[in-house]
This record gives sequence, structure tokens and C-alpha cells, in this order.
Amino acid sequence: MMGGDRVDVPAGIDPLDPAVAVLVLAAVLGLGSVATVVLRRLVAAPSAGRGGTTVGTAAAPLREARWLADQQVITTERPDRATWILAPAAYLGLAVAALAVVPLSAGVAVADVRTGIVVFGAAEALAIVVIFLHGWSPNSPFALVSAYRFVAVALSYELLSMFVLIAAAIPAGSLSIGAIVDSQAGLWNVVRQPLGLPLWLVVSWGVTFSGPLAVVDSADLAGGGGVEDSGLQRLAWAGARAAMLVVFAAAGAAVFLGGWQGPVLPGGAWMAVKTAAVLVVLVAGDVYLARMSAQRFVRLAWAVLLPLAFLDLLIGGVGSL
Amino acid sequence: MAVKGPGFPVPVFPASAVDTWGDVQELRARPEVRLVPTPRHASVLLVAGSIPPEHREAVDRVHDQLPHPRATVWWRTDPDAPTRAGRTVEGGPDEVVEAIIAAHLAVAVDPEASEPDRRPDEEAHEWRGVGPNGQGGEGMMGGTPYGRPMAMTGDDRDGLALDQLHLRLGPFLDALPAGMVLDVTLQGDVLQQVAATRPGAPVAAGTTVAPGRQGLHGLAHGLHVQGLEGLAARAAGLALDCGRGREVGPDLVRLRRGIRRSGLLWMLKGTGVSGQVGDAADRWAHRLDRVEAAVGGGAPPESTVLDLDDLGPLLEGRTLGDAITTLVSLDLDLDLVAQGVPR
Repeated sequence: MMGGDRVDVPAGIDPLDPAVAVLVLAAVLGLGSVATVVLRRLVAAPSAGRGGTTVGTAAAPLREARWLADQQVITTERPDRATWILAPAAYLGLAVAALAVVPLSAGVAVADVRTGIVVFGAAEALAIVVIFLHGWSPNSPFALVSAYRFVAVALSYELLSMFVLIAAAIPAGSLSIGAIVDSQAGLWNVVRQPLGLPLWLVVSWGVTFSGPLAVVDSADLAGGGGVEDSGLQRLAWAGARAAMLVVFAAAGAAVFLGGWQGPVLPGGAWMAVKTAAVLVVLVAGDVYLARMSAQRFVRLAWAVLLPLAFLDLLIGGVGSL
Repeated sequence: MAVKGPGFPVPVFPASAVDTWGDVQELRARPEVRLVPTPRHASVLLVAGSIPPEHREAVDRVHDQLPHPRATVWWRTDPDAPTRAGRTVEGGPDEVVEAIIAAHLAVAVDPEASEPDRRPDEEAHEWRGVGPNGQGGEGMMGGTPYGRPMAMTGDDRDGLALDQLHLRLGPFLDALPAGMVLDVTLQGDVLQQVAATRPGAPVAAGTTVAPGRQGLHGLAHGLHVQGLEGLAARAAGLALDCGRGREVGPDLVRLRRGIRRSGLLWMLKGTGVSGQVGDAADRWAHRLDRVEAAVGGGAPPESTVLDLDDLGPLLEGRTLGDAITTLVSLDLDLDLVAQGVPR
């Protein structure tokens, strides 16, 4: 199917069969999380200094996961137990919901609804609540402080996300991410709206609280939101984070890099390659960039990044006149 | 390496005294272990150096925060201190890494061998409650149930009259200099009052001081706190090399390049501004110059020695995160060591 064909056809007609959808989502997030771990090892290798490691096998993260699964799950004094347990599940659930609206190949999406970017944005906004609740739950000062700090940062990056997604939707004439991919048949958004992808990276670091925006589970607050997490709880949170990173990389690939479109290779392969490319940049930022203080980011976001997002919107609008 | 590990870096929480803090930082260069910022993430507690008597109870409290299965390794601890369960090591980093791996494997194979709590699982203070709500104050306000003052409102930086939370940070908080204890009053995450204490001059006169190596220890710790684990490991590796008498100049130049590319100085701009010593970015730049000069054998540029009493005014009014960033940028450990030794 050629890109232009779908302009008059409302997107979101054929959602996948639920049984297939579950398998597809689980496979994508499972493989994606493993890919994230592998990419992180590769990306971080040059920074690690001397070699000769005894723990260099690729199975190290799996072995550590196995260890965590057996470790005691510690509880604190008067925690909010329900939200503490539910936070990783909800975070993963939001990652899954967001992934559902991202087309994985030509005509293949779990549910390419007409309001794709609204669904995606809703998942992103609810993720703020979940990350806050994760810090709130253990009734522990460092976790709580980092949770509030995150909300300040989150309100600042959240607007960027809305503007860059809307800018991408203008040339598509639709809020469906499938239509946004189709609209890039001639020229990818990364060229047409050059501010979009860099701002999207900022949003992705924000939602996964990594890289320059690693303000949640950070060492300055003794592990922050995760300060009291041990065992399975820590494993679940780490897994959900990896999944969320994959989802934002996939959305970045779809919205700015033409998604499944490309010569020779099948659409799914292109999507995988482009997602991996965005993932490499996100992980490299996490490994190589220092954390920014929350106040500095808030100032930067409102004074510089938000005007850039307006400009992006303007470029998107003028470009599709 | 003779020892076969568990196949992943053993997560270790260090509780180090001032005299061994630098050696503990050098463990960041070792791939077999990973220093974690909270005891909840660790399987092995590493108690290092001569823990002052007033902090021994805190060691036990930290110990009880580790999840099971857990074990303790005591490294160059005071032989007079009361003996506790765990392995004791006197040697160098190779020996301690070996002991950590062995301790981890022992409890991994036999979780029953996990160390029991050292403190009774009870409230540190009695209830002291009065009235139906039992908090000991009037109505719903005031009182100190379980020795913790009820949150009361007070004036604050932003005029919000938020509840005050009284906390003690340290003595083994990962981001703080060794042995430092901060008694703080928080409103929101803003520090309203800070009182810093630290046990007295810990370095005996006549101890050899290597300013370059000490500076690299502080660098490794600071980079870790700022989220740059890879660079922290490299700085720790350079400190190890310094200790072995290797030339580290060219590697330090490369490390500096890595730090510049991480954007650290840019990210820190405007954070922790203090009248005499600029902001955190200035202090990091100064610290890097100082380490470079010391490693090159030249006279390090003059460092600003801060009195503990001056810390309060410097940190008050900042958010908790910014206060930690500010503290880390001050490189207090180098100053402390410099003070402890007659030149």
C-alpha cells in the first residue's frame, strides 16, 4: 500500500484480534527490553575504562534479574502498599497502551485509532501520576522528595510533547499515528520539522526519567523514588522502565523517521531498525550525559524549549499550507 | 581473577569512615562489584575504616535495612570495636573484592546463612502519646509521638507556610562526604535549617597524603552522584593507578574530555551559587584544575576550606537535591584531609 492512498480512508478500522494483539505487544516489549539491555552494554562499553571484566557476559542482566526475583521484598513503616505494588504494573500498562497506537509495519498496528496521539499523550500524562505514586508509596522522605521533583520536571516536558506531536499531525491531517507515518512518504518529519525529534528525545528522557532528566531514581537522593525498593519490586520497576523507553523510541521512529517506510526491507524491519536507532541515542544520552538540576531544567523548558516547540508547530503549519 | 563471581556485579552498600572512604571510592573501578546508593539495593554491606563510636549504632541500623539474603564485610575496621557477624579483611582492594564476592555467594547458595537483624525491631523512642489521638499535643497539633515531632507549619522561603519535617541525613548517606551528618528541617523539599556535624580530625599526623589521588577519589564520588557512573569508574581507575605510581596525566586529559562532553558543567550552571566560590560549575572546573595540577606534581591551586558551621547558611533555602549537588561540588574530603595533615 502506498503512503498517499490512505489519506481519504479514516485510519483505525482494523484493530488486531485481541489474542494476536497481546502476543504482538508482549513480543515487541519483551524483545525491545532485551535490546535495550544489550544496546546499553554496547553503548557504555567505551566509557567503562579498563577491560578484563569477569562479569562481561551478556547473561549478566539476566542473572541479576534472577537474583532480584529471589531477594526479600522489604516493606517500610506504613507504606501505601497498594500503590507501591501497582505502580510498576500501571507504568508497564501505560507503555503497552501507548504502544498499541503505534504502527509496527505497513497496515499493522494493534489499534491505529484515529485519535492515536491523544491516546499516546494520555498514557504519557498518566505516567506522571504513576511515577509520582511510586515515589509516594513507601512513606520515605527521599522517595517523596524525588517524586515531587519529578512532577515539576514533568509539567515542563509534557507540553513539549503535545506540541511536537500536533506539529507532526498537521501535514498528516489526522491524529492517527498511522496517518502521520503515511504523510512522510515523500519526506520524513525529521527533515521537514527538524526541531521535532530533538524535543521528542527530551520528552522521552523525561518520561523514563533517564539521561539529563534522571531526577527520580538518582544517586543524589540515595536512589530517590526507588530508595526503598528491593527484590521483585525493583525488578518490576526496571522492566517497566525499559519497556517505556522502547515505546518512546518506537513512537519517535514512527512520528519523525517515517516509521515502517523504506526500500527493499519489509516494513517491520525498517521500523525495528529505526526504533533501535532512536533507542541508541536515548541510551547514549543516559550513559554519557550528566543529570540536570530540576530547577535548571524547568527554567530551560519554559524559556527555551517551549518557544522552540511553538516554532516547531509553526514550521509544521506553514509547511503544510 | 581467582574468584568466580555470581555472574553480575555484586551490589555493595558501603558504610565507610573518613580514613577508608577514598579506598572505597576506588572500588568503583572494579567490575566485580557495584557500589549502590541505598542499602535496599545491596546484598553485601561493606563497613570500612575506623567507624567512630557515635556512628556504630548507625552501622547496625543500615545493616538491618539490607534485604535478605545479606552479609557483611568488615574492612580495616577498628580491632577494638565489638565483634559482629561477617568476614573481616585487612588487605587491599583485591582481598576485599574477593571477600565481598565470597560473602555474596555464601548467602546466595544458602539463604539461611543470611545475617539476622542487629537491632530490635521496635520504635527508637516510646510513644509518649496523650489524648484520643495520642500524639501528645493539643487538638490535632504538636507533640512528639515516637520521638518524632509532629509536622507543624512555619514560615518558609516561598511564603507557603508548609509543614516542617525534621530529618537526620547521614552518617552513611551515599551522596554526603564520609561521616557527615546533617540535621535538617525541610518544608516541601526546601532546606530551612541545616546543622552539619562530622567527627573530629580523622587523619593522624604523619599520614602520607597524595593530593592527586585524593582529588580523584572525590571526583569519582562526585561523578557518581551526578549520574555519570562510567566516568566515575574511570576516575576511580585513575586513583588506583596513582596509588600504584603509574603516570595518569594523559588518561586524566581524556577523562576531562569525557566530563566536558557530558555537559556536567553546563547542567550545573547557576546551581549552588555562593558568594565567594561561584556556582557548582565553577567549583567543578576549579576542582578539575586542582586534580590535574596535583597529578602533574605541581602545586595545586589554593582550595577554599569551608568550616562546618558555614555549611548551614550555604545550604539553607536550597532544595534537597541542589543542596547535595552543592555539597558534592565543594570537595570537602580533600579539604578535610589537607587540614588533618601538617605540611
